[in-house]
Amino acid sequence: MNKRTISTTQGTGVPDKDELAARESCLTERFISGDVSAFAELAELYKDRVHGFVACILGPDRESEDIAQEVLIQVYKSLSSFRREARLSTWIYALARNVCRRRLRERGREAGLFAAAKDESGYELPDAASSAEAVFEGAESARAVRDAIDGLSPLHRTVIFLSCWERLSYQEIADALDIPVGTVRSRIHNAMAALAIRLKTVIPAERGETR
Amino acid sequence: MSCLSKEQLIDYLFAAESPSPASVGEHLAACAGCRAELEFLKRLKTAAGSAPLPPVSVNFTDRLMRALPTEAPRKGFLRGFYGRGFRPAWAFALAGCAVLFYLGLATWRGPGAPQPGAPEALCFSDGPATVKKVLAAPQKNTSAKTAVYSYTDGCAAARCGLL
Repeated sequence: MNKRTISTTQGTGVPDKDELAARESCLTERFISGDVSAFAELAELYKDRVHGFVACILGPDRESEDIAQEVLIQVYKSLSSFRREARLSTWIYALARNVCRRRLRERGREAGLFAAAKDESGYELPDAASSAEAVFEGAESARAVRDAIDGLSPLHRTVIFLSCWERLSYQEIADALDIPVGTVRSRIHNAMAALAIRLKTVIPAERGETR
Repeated sequence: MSCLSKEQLIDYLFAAESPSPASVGEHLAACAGCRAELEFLKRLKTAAGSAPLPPVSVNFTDRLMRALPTEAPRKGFLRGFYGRGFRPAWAFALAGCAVLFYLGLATWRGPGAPQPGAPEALCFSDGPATVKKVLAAPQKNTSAKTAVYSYTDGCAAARCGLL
C-alpha cells in the first residue's frame, strides 16, 4: 500500500486542496523559470495520482505504470504552455486521458470505454457472494473498498477517482474528461449506485430501507 | 415534501459549490430516513476517497527522470508568449490594426498628407542623339503651370538605358 506524501484534511486521507494548489503553483513557477529539479518534486507529487487515474481507465496492469510515465513526460514537455486557466491537476488529467485514449486506440479497445452509449451498461452487476457475509476491519476493509472500485467499469472508476479521491467539482471533472457536466452527474450517480451495492455489507449501515 | 431521491442526495453531497435548494436542507432536518441515506452516501464517498491507490514502483521517479529529454524544454516563440498570457487572437488583432493603419495612410487627404507630384510633360526634340545632347540636363520650363521638361532624344535614350 502506497503512502500519500501530501498532507490530508480531517484525517480522511484526502489531500488539502489549498495547500496542494500552492505547492503545485510554486513548483510550476520554478520549473518554468528553468529549475528542472522542480519537476522531480512535481512528479513525486503526482506519480500516484496519475498512475491511479491511468489504472482507472486502462485497468491495473503493468502497462499502466509505463503509461503514467508517458503522461508525466508529456507534462514535462508541455508544462511551459500551461495557461493556468484550470487547476494543474485538471490539466494533467486531461493530458493523461488523451494518452490513455491513444493507447486504447492502439489496442483497439477504444469502443466501449469512452462511448456514451456504453455508459449505462459498462459495469457488471456485483457478485453478492464476493462481499457478503464478511466482516471487514482496518486494512481488510480498505482492500475490500479497493476491490469494489476495481470491479466497476472504467468509466465509473474514473469518476469515482476524480470525485471522491481527487475531490474535483462536476465542472472540473467535465473539463478533465472532456464531457458535459450532465454526463458527469449521471456517471457519478450510476457509479455511486454500483458502489453502494458492492459495499453495502462493508460500510456499516445506519440507513433505512433502500430506495 | 416527499423524500429526496438518491440523485438529489448525491448532488447535495458532491456539488458543494452549487448551493442546494433550502427545501433540501429543511427536509433533511426533518426526515430521519433521508439523513440516514445521506450519511450512508457520505461514508461511501469517504471510503472510496480513502481507498489505497495501486502502488507504483519504488524507483518510478528515478526512471522517469532518466527517461526525460536531456535538455530542458525550450520555450518556443509562441510558448513564450503563451506563458505571458498571449493569445493567437491578439496576433490577428495586431495584423488587422496594421492593415487599417496602412489603408488610412494611403487614403489620408488631410493636412500633412503626402501630395502627389506635379504632372510632367515630356517633350522630345527631333534629331540624332549626340554626346553633347546626352550630357545636357533636361530644361524645366518654369513659366508653365504644369512642369514641362524638354528632353533631347539623347536624354530620353539615356533614361531608357539605350545608351
